[in-house]
Amino acid sequence: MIWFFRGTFILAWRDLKSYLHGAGFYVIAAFFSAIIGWAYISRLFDFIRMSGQMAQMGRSDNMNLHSTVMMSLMAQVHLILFFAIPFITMWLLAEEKRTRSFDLLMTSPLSSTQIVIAKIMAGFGAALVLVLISLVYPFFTSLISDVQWAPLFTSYLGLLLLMATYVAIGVFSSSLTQSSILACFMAFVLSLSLWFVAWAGNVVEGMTAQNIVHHISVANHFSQFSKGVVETKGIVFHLSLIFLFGFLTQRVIEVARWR
Amino acid sequence: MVDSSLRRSSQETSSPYMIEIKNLTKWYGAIHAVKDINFHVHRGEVVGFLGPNGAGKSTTMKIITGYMAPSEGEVRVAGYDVFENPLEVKRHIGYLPETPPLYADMYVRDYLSFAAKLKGVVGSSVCSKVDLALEKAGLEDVQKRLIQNLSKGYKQRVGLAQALVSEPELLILDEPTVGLDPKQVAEIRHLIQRLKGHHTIVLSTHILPEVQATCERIVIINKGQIVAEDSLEKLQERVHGARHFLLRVRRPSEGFVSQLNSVAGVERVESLGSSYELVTDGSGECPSLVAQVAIASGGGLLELRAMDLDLEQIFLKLTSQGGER
Repeated sequence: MIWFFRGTFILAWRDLKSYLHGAGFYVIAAFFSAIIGWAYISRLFDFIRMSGQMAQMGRSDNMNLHSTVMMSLMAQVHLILFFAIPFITMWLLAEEKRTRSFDLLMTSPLSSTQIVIAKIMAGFGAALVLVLISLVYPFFTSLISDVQWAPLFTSYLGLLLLMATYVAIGVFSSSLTQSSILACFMAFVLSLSLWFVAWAGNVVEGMTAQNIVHHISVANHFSQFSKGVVETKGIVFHLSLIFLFGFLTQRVIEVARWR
Repeated sequence: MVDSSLRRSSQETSSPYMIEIKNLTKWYGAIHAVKDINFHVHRGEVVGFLGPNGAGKSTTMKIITGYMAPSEGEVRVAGYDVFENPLEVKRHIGYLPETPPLYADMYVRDYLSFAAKLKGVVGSSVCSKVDLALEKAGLEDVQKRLIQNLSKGYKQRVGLAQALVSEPELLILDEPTVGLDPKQVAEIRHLIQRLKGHHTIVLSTHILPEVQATCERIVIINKGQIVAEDSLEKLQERVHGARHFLLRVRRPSEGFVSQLNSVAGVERVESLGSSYELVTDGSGECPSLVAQVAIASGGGLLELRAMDLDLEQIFLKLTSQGGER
C-alpha cells in the first residue's frame, strides 16, 4: 500500500519536473499570462468606468465585481486551458512510447493503475501551476476593492474539476498513439465533444432528453460552480468522467501486454 | 513488511532455478513467434541467447521481464510466476531492452536515481547504489550531463547502469552491444565479464563472439524454437561428432594422403594445399599415430592441432538443420 503511493508519486514527480525543466511549458505559461493579464485588466477598467457612470446615475448597487469581472476571468482561464491542456498532456504517454522509455515503466514494479494515476497527477500539476498564476489577479484586486472570495473559491473548484477532466482525456488520447501531435488533436476533439453535448441541450426536444443533457452538460455544472453553488452531482459527474478516462487508459496500457 | 520478506526468502530457497520456462508459446496475431520453449537458468549462471534476427529472442526476454504476457505456458522467475505475481518478479529483474529506455531531458545521475527509486530502492541507499552503478558502468565523468547529449555508446552504458542500479538478482540484456563501435563493444563485454558471479545474467545477441566471450551456457533459438542448449565445448563436440585435426607439413611427399588415410582411426583426409584436414573417430591414439607418420614421411611436421569449429559454424550448422535438437 505504501509502495502504491510512493511509486505513483515518484513517477508523477519526474513528469512534473520534466515539464518545469522544459521550454515548452514556459511558452504556454507566458502566452497564458499575457492573454489573461490583458483580458483581466481591460475587463476591470471597463467595470470601473461603468460603475462610475452607474454611480453618477445613482444605481451603483446593481454592479457586481464577481459576476462581471471574476466570471469573465474564469471564462478566459477556462478557454485558454481548454487549448493548453492537450498540449500539456500530449507528451505524457505518446512520447514515452516513442522514445521507448515506456519500457522502463513497464518493467518496473509499477502497476498500470499507478502509471495512469501518476500521469494524470503530473498533467494536473502542470495545469494547476497555470491556474495558480491566474489567482494573481483577484489577489491584487482585493488590495483595492472587496473581492467575494466564497463564490471565487467555488468557481476555482469547478474550474479545477474541469481541468482534471481535460487532463484525464488528454492522458487517454496520449495512450492511444506514439505521435504527440495526434494525441493533442484527439484530446482536443474529445474535450470539445463534451461541450457539444452541452450545446445539444438547446436542440433536443422532450423533458427527459433535456434533463439527461442537462445532467451530462459540463457547461451547466461549470455555471453552477461559478455562481457559488457546490452541487454533489457536479462533483460526482466530473469525478466519474476522470475515472472513466483513467480506466480506459489503464485498459489501453494493459492491452499492450497481450498483443 | 517482515512477513512478506520472510515469505519471499522461503519461496526463493524452494527453487534452485532463477528462471524456469515451461511450454512457453507466443502468438502475435497469426504469427507464431515462440513455439513451445522449455528451459531453465540456474542461479548465478551466465546464459547466452543466440539466434538470427526475428528468431523470438526479444519476445522471450520481454515475457520473462513481465513486459508481455505469454499466449500459453508458464514462466517463473526466482520462484514467482510472472503472470500471477508480476510486480514481485519485476523487483528481481534489471532489464536492458534493445533500445535503452532513457529520458533524453534528464541528467545521467538524476535518471539513475529515478530508476533506482522506481525499482523500490529507498532512502539513503539510493545515493550509494547510484554511485556504484555509475562506477560499474564507467559513467562517473558524465554523471552531470544531459542524456540527450551523450554518444550512443554512453547511452547504452546508461541503459546498462539503469538495469544494474537496484542490484537485481537477474539481469536481462537484450543485444547490449548492438550498434556500438568495436572499442565500445569490448568495454561492454568487459563490463559483463565483471558482473559475472554477482548476478544471474541472460543476454541475447546475434553476434557470436560475444557469447563465446562471456557465456557459460548457450541457448540457440531459431524460428521460435530452441535448436540447441549447452556449453560451448559440448556444442562443438556435438556438431563435430568425430574430432577434426589440422596437419601442416613443410614438403608433402608423394602419396602422403594415402599414408595418412591408412592410419588407424583416420576416417577422411582433405588436402588444403600444404595442410590437411583430418577427420578422425576421436580415439586418443590417433593424433600421435598421425604425427609419427608425418615425421616418418620426411616432409617436416610444422603443425598438428585439434580444429574447433567456432560458434559461427556451429550456429550455421544448427540453424540450417532446422528444428532438430
